[in-house]
Amino acid sequence: MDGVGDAVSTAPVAGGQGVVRDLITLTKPRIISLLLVTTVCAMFAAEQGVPGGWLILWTVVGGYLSAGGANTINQVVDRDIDAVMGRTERRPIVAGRISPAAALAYGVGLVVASVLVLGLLTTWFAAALSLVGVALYVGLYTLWLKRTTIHNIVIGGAAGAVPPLVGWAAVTGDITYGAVMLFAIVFAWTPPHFWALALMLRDDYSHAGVPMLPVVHGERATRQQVLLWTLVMLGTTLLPYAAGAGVLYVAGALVLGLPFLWMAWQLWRGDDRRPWAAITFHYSLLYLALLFVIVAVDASL
Amino acid sequence: MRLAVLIIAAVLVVGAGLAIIRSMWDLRAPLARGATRSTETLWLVLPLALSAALVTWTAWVMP
Repeated sequence: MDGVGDAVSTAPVAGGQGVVRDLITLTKPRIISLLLVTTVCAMFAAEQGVPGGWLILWTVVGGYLSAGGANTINQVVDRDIDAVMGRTERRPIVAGRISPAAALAYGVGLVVASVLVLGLLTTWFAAALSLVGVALYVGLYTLWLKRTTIHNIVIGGAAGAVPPLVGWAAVTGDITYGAVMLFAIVFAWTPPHFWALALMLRDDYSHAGVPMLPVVHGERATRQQVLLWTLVMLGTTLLPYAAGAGVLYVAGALVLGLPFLWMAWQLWRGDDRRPWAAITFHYSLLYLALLFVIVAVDASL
Repeated sequence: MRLAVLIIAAVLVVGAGLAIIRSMWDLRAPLARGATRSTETLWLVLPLALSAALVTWTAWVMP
């Protein structure tokens, strides 16, 4: 998803080094890093221990190629939006350093490479799931929902929740309850995470004509939804314990989740003495990474 | 203990889910081509229905 962290190195750089840098920038490496944390931790949960090093490596490589390809194609499709948003106006395609056709070929190439890497070196089911993730992000989110509905990031959040499924399937070759729960946790985490960001970037989205919730229905409605979805997310994170996860997991889910809820509560109250949208957004990144590390540790014990 | 946590989780997921649907129900007017009142209703209800289904599945697989 197109978050704050994707504005990696958008300054123009001359020569071949600049092209390489632009090609890396197109993949949005900072966003992918969080996706890969969820992927690898899901592998530990699926293995109930430590998966093989080569398997982790190839899953990470395939996962990066897949997400990087999807992110690149996203920037081809959304170049008109990127051009009018201050956060994205210096991206390689918008700045004219890489043509849309070249970027599209590059993105498709990355996706094809990801399917081959995951299919040949992990499992074909993992490769198929990664392709589903690309289809959800490019087809469902970018091409359809992003410009047409306030629910864009809720439904589109399914794309960002696919990486744990890929990691799980890379280990076991199938999908079971545990994998679906990890998908559900990321899915329920996305609305409070992304709407906190949208509150910060409301003017940008409004200028670009993207119907984000705060643009269409204002800040108060968005703050309310952040709080309610945080409650859904917190409840979802408790479910794995009921199904057999360890005490370490549920303790971690509460220790990490209750501060998230408190921040969402402060945001909802509309206390403007502190920038609660920014605080909630940045905490949400830390929250998801740490929660998945706890998932991995708890499953490995 | 696990049953108590399941009940708390169910209350959070279903309770907040119903509150989301209620608060967004009147905001389902289509905004652009490609959106209809039906799709807006689907996008609002579907994720929360699936969340409730997950609660049921968890109760089913509880040790």
